[in-house]
Amino acid sequence: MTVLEFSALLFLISCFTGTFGVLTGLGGGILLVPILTTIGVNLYYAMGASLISIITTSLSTATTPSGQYYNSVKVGMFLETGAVLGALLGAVLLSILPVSLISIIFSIVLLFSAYSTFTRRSQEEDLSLEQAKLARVNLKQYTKTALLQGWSLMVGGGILSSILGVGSGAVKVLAMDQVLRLPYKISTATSNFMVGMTATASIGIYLAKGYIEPTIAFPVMLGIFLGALVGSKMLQFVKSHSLRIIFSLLVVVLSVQMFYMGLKAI
Amino acid sequence: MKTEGLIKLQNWILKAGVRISILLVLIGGSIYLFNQGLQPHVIPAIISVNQYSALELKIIEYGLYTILLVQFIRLFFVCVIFIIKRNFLFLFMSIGVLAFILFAMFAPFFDIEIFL
Repeated sequence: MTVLEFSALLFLISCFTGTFGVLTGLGGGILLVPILTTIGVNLYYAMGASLISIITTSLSTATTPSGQYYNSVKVGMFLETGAVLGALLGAVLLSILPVSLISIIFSIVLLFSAYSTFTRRSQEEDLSLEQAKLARVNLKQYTKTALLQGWSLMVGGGILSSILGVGSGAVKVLAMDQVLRLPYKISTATSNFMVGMTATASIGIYLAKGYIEPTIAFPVMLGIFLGALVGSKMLQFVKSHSLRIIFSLLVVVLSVQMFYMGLKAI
Repeated sequence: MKTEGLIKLQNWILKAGVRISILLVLIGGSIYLFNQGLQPHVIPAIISVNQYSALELKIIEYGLYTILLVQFIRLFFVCVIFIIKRNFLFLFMSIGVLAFILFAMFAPFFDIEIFL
C-alpha cells in the first residue's frame, strides 16, 4: 500500500466515524481508535490522532447554535474540574499500563458505550431556546450527593480519556443526563464543550512521548472534521433510532475485537 | 448584555482559529502526499520527541498546535466572562481547570518523574 492510498483510507474511515459519531451523539473517538488499530496503526498513534480530532470537533461545533445556546458553562466547568484531574491521573497511568490492559479496558468501555447508545433517550427531544435558558441552571439546585456523584463520574471519564485517547462523551452525558437530570440537548452540548478541554489536558503526555504522528493525524483530523460537518447536516433528516442500533452492533463487534487483541498481547 | 460583544469576538476567533488550523494541516498534508504519496507506506516507529526536519511535517505540526492554542483561548474567554459577571466561584473553577490543563500539557516536557 502506498502512502497516498493509506492516507486516503485513514481519511475515509475518519469521515465515516465523524459522521456516525455526530448522528449517534457518541463522538468519533470511540469508534476511530479500534478501527485504526484493526488496519495496523499503532494503538498509541491511533489514540493521539483521536485526541486531536476530538479537540477539532469540539471547537468547530462551539459556534453552532446548539453549542452556544444549549451549553451550560457553569455545570460544565464544575464537572470539568473532576475531568481534568482524572486526565492527569490517566496520564500517569498511561506510562504504567501495558498495551494489552489498555486494549481490554477499551473493549469494556466500548461495551458500555454500546449499551448507553442503545438505551439513550431520543435525540429528537424538543427543547425550545427559552426552556434551555431556564434549564441552564446553577449548581444550587442539586443535592451535594448528586454533585459528588457527577463529579466522581467525571474523574473516571477523565482517566479513560487519557489512557484510551477518547473524549469519553458517553460518561459525561451519563453524569449530566442520569445523575444531574439535565435535559438531553443540554447534556450533549455541555459534554461537547467539556470533551475538548479534557482531550487538551490528556494530550500533553501524548505530545511528550511522540504519540502524535503528523502523517497519521492529518488525514484523521481532516476526515473527522468533514465527517462531523456532514453528520450535523444529516441530523435534520435522518432518523437516529435505527442508526443507533447499527452503531451499537458495530461497537460490540469492535469491542470483541479489541478484547481479543488485548488477550493476544498478554 | 455586557458579555455579548465578547462572546461574538470569541466565536469569531474560534472559527478563524479552526479554519487556520485546518488550512495548515491541509497544506502540509498535500505537500507530504505530493512528495511521498507514491512511496510504500511504512508504519512509523515511535520516537521520543516529535522533531521533524521536513517542512511539510512541520506545517502539519503547527496546524495541530494551532488547534490547541484555540482551545486555550476559548478557556481564557470563559474566565474573562466570569470576571465580567463577577462570578468568582466559577472563575476560580475555570482558573483551576486552566491550571490543571497547563500542568498536564507541560509537565511531561519538564521530565516530572510521575509521567516518565
